[in-house]
Amino acid sequence: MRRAQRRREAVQGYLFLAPALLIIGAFHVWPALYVLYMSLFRWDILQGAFLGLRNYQHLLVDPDFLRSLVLTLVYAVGTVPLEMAAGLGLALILHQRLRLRGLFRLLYFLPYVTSQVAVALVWGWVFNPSYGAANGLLAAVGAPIQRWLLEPGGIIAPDAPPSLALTAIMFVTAWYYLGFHAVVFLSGLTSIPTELTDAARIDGAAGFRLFRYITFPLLSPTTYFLLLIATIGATTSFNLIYVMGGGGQAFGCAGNPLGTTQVAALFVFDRFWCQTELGYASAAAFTLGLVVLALSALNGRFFSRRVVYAA
Amino acid sequence: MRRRPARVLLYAGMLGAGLVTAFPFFWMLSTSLKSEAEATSFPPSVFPVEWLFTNYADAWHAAPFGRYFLNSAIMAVGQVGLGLVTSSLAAYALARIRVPGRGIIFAALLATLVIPPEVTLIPNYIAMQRLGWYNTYLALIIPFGASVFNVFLLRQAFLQLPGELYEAAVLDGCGHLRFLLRFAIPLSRPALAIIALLTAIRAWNDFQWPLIVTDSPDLRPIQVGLTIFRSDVSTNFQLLMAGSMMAVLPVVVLFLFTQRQFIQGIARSGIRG
Amino acid sequence: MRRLSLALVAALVLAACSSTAGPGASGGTSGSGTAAPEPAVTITFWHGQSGVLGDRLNELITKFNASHKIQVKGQFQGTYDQLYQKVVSAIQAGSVPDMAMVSGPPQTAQYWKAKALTPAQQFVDSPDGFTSDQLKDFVPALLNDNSLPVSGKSTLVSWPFSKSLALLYYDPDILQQAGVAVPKTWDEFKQALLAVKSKTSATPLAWTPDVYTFFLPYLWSQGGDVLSPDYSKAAFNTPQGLAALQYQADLVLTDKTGQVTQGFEWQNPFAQGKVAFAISTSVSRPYIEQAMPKDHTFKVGMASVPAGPKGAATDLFGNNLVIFSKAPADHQRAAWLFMKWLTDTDQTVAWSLASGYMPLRVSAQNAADFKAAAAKDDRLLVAINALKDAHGIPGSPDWQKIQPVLGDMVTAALLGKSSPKDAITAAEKKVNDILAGQ
Repeated sequence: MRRAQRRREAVQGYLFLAPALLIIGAFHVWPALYVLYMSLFRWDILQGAFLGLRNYQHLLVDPDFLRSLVLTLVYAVGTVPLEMAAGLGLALILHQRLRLRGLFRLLYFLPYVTSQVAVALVWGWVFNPSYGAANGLLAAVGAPIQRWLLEPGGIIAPDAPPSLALTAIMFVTAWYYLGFHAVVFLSGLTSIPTELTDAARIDGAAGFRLFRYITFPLLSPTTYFLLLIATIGATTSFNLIYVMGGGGQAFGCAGNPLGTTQVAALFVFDRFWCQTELGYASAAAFTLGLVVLALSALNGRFFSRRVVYAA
Repeated sequence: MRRRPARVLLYAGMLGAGLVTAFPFFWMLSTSLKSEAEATSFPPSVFPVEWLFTNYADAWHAAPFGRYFLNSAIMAVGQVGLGLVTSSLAAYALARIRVPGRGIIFAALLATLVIPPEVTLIPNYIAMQRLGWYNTYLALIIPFGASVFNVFLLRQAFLQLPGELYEAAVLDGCGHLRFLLRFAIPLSRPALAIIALLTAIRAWNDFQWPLIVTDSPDLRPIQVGLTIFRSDVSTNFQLLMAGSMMAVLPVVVLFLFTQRQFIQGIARSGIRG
Repeated sequence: MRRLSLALVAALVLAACSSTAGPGASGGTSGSGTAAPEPAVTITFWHGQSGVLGDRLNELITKFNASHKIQVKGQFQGTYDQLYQKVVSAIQAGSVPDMAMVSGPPQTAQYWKAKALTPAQQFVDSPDGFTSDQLKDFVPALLNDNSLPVSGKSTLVSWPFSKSLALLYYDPDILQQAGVAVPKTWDEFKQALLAVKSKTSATPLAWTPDVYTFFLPYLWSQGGDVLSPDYSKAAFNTPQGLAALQYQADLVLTDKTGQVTQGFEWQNPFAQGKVAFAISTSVSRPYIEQAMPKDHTFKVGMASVPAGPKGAATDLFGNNLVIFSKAPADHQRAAWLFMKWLTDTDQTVAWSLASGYMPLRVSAQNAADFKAAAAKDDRLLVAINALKDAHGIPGSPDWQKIQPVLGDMVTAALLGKSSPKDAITAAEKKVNDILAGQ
């Protein structure tokens, strides 16, 4: 009886999952397997000789690829905590009863809907080495002016990542995703039962203490979720870096200047679409996927224990 | 009274932050009203010297934008509608039903997020050709009809529903589907609103995929339409920005509409009683 | 037998009539042998022209369709890069169009290597093609640009359509202020930049570093080349190559007359009269003119890229057309007939005057419409006069890998990250590795 009921429930569960799994299977899993297949061949435009794991062996000693992995890590570490902390801060403020709350929400969300061309142009202008606002600011305080998006030199040490160009792009990234994080945090805050915070208030908790012991733990599912999504997003990030990182070359492909903004996704794109090494690029994409998955799993092990559900 | 300076500071800070986040948007708006020469002047002017509202009419008439808007709307509505159904069902199953192998399914779903889409373009293109979906609305909607992101977000929301609620509902003879429709979905409105908003924005801003799976302007969406203002050597900035402003307007309206869903607290007590 | 030949004659008459009846159908049939009648098929043509150029191209297609049994469906598929992505995907899926635009010889070489193309040579030699005399009407540099070495023989693989080349742009007002003439040689150019720097407040030179702007023209003008003739080895680590790199590094680092920019950013300051010189493609002019403020307009100066001891040299840009081998034979032939019509004297003049690309044929340069336009604006002739010095981008399928290596070499030297000697040696090694298939 019990077993039959369980089986019935399981069947129902699979039925619930079926539509999503079908679509995700066809348009995410199958292409991923196809990429894996391509990665085992020499594949220029057409499928060539079977190489086994030789593309992967090459990758492990390809200094450009290894550099791109390092840059990816730097990029993720430099953007995810910043955009999440700022997003949470904004969400907390916007969650309060404030005048013009709706207007502020819109203002902070605007980057996320602004055309990417406009984004690249405006920030390109801000960072323009001859006329840009960033150098205007530096000049005003008497600091030496910079080449910003054209500068391959590092901000910590001349030859260590991140380059000034990548740093500028990281800043724009955090700016771009701020509103996204704020909105998702806001929805998380909204779903915290008000009874709990009210009860805590009656017990005398307020301000930081209320946040530290009630709000933040109850927000942890959202935080965890965002961390996971943002980490995956940052480690596979492409568009903004591609658009901003022209790095001076009119005919270059991806990751200028001198490859210092060539994070892993750009490396993959460069080898795939600019150099038409489809097999090699697929191997790089798959390796990147494995690295991201391992990072996410670590992330999950570390944080999932700290997630608290209100229910 | 004591808190007044703090409030002023708070508002000043928020306004400052708002200016930084909104500036490129305002620049887009301002450029959309400038003359060609002014739009490209360097350094740029903040406000147009001459306000050319005619740019909007020029942009609108430069291409069949009515058709492009309609296609974008079909894409967005289709993806949101299908996405809400598939992700609600799947998220509910992962959150509330004892499905054997749930952990593996969850991990497998996660794994699909990590392959950069720049390389899956070719297999997906081949799939569209084989399925006969090339140059149809199906190619524009179905592949985005389920998203791992949405399933995860909604699963988190469903996990936060009070357990007693489900037990009470089961006592009343409520099955999973009815519980999902009657309680889980209405109670997770903030998460659903976010999913709808983000899916719609993604659909509305998509460029590469629609370009690659369609041939005909009859099927192409607004973002592809906007390429009319760009060429390999130059860009017609004021018309591009006027076109982009028109394109972004529905998204802003949608945001204003859905954001109320994130803030309105849910009347839990009403359901418990 | 009798009936067959009668049918043939009837078909020939029909073909002859229909080809003379159409308004733009000059040229007619030629080549060796007799052409078969025009196939009544609809062909698809993937191109990368949007905006005004897209409209002009569509007008040409409409004109062709109105006068021919062949119907052409032109489909815009994004920028050259996006078009390339789509064609590569289509080759994988086996769903290529009948013909497409390519951005240059390296992409053509990629498609050729993938056995995706039917070489234009096959049609040029057919009864639908040209006699060798007729072919002489096409500018040799343009035919070379569309040829690849096929088993040791130079073969036309693609067909020219919208061609432009690199030119020197200058602001005559600033030059006058600085008291310098338009420089004819690289040495004069260097001196002119120094004069602008000392006598005016303008930026002497603004450009976005890449291999095309200075490195290749300078190298060629010294008699050097970038790759060996069979594209098997790097050929640029020579005194000429080093001089080419040193020259531009000196402009930025020593003379401080060169200002490095991103993308097409130099266009706007130039249009506003803040920059004296720039080197860019010949089709940049309308965009510069559009960007001029109303209260400060000037006649954009255009001249050949400066010359070296072995004369002047410049690079060819723009796009060519290809026919895909997977298309049915009658579609391929129809595509060729369309391409041929598109490059007839009348059409090449019309396209050139509408787009700013160069007329492809000597007869077009002498056509009345073009001469009238050139009489009004002598700058139309600058690009044409430079054509004899034009070099195509190397048609190596590996060029896409080589180009970023050379771009990095230039960037490293310009930013002072490495000496020109180190940069060129490192680039040579990388390029040789790429060409050796490493």
